[in-house]
Amino acid sequence: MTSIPAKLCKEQSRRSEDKSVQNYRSLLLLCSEYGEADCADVRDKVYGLHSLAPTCCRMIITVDYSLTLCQVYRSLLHHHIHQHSDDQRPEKVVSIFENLHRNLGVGVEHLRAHQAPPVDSQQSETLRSCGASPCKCTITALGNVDGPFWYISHPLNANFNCSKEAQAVIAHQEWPEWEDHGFPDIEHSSLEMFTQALDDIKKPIPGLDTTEISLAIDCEGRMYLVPSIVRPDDFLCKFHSSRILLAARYEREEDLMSSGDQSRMSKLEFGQRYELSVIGRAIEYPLHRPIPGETTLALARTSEMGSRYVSLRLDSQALQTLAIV
Amino acid sequence: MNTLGHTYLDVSLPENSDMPFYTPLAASDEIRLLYLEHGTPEQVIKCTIKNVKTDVSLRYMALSYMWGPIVTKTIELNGQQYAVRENLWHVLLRFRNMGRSIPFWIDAICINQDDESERNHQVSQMGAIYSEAMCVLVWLGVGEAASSEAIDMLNQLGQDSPTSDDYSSEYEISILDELATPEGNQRLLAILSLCRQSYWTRLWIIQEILMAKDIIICSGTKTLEWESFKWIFNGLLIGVRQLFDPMTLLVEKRERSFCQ
Repeated sequence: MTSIPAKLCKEQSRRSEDKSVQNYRSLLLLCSEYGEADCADVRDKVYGLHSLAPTCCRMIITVDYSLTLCQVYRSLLHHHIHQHSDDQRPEKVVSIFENLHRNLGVGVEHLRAHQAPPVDSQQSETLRSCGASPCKCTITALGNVDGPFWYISHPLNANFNCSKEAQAVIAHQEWPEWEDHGFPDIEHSSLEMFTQALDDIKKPIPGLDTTEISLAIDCEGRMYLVPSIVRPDDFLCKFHSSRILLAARYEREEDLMSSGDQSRMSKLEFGQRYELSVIGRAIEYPLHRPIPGETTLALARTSEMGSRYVSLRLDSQALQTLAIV
Repeated sequence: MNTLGHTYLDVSLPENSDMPFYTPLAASDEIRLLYLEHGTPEQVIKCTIKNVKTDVSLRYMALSYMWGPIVTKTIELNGQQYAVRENLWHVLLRFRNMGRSIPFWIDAICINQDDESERNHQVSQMGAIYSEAMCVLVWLGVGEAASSEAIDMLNQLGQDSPTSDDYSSEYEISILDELATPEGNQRLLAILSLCRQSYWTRLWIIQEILMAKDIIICSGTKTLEWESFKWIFNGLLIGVRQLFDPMTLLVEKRERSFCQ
């Protein structure tokens, strides 16, 4: 962490030496970097950094206090994804968006509440005149891949039956040898213990609609909440300097089949980089378990040894899942 | 006079709304500037605002400060009672008797905050306003003892330090030697306190500083040039790191004994 005066001294020197520095960072990147600072109106986290941005950002994201925060956020995101998708290092993408969302206070429920068209007509006109199509633009993110998952439950909705689910867990094939990460140890636990654990998870989670969410258990017994469309053969992706986890799918099944290897863990080989598609956000359960900062760093460090790298193409929708949960 | 002003304020001037003296900005290259009148400490602060066209010859200073708590004081603006927040009131008090009467650009007064379209336009012009100002005044507040001490020290260093060409390691060592004493520690703490003023936590100051041509930091009656302030991060911290790095100490010792 660098203090603000130190950051300002460094940046001020850079800018006085080289005027073109102004073109290097989009307004979105500036908001991600400096938006932690305080101001009375959240929109000022964008407008208050406006003058530091390249001309294209200033032309498209105009200062307009009649817009809501959500509208400002969307034009910021859409401009960045169309014109600045290569401006950041791929391994930093997830943490950049995590910071952006935290700085602007953009949460998942915030986005769900504003299902307005992502770009207003005037905006998409501007985008088209810039030569960019208003969709299908992506930003590439790099991270490490873990998994696949070991077990995915039924959706945690009204029909969720704890004892049936517990039986299914016990009956599940290929029990891994797992350490105590929260979920009961399979070998030494009773059906009641599993039922109890699932009963806890089923309890309503404030601010989270769990009807389309399932419980995922990985091969080490760690638990996650994932979108119900996640399958057991999907993978978990981790990113440098970020606590965000994503569930992703390897689409090229035929590659895996032809490898002839039956062990699922070795489906993706160490030291290789794979391109996966994002399915959704995975949230570690229990929620808000304090994870000290070093854990993320440690994850990135240990996984460097025998890592399987992941490259994800994030479209605007996927980037929005990186909001505050 | 002052007491009367406050009473008047409480009754009828809660938000300075619809003040008649805001002449709409006629053209997109027009801004308002604030002209401070001289005065004695007991006199009410008097100032006028005028619409002016921006061009290269326009000389003004732009203020970078935090609005602070909603505690207001009364000033006289274009002959009318006007409420400003306490922090700004201190700025006006501090600078009203400055020798040359250079006008100021101050967001709270020079933008008609109640006119949304003017606010939209002026906020988008702030980069130009701050970069074209002859100097940006950074106001850290009325100044507490520690900040004053830090500013004195940094000014002293600025004067003493040789020009960058012959910036000798000998000079650096002399400063670091001094900082290792209990007195020096006190000074380090003073510098830390200067960097922890709540001014630095505000978002607006980022672009105000980064767009500026020239910056002067003010804390109470003390002033410090940005170049001297920067030394904290360019010289001091690098030096402190070396001071606590065993390898450097070893090399340094060997060099010294060699010289002797």
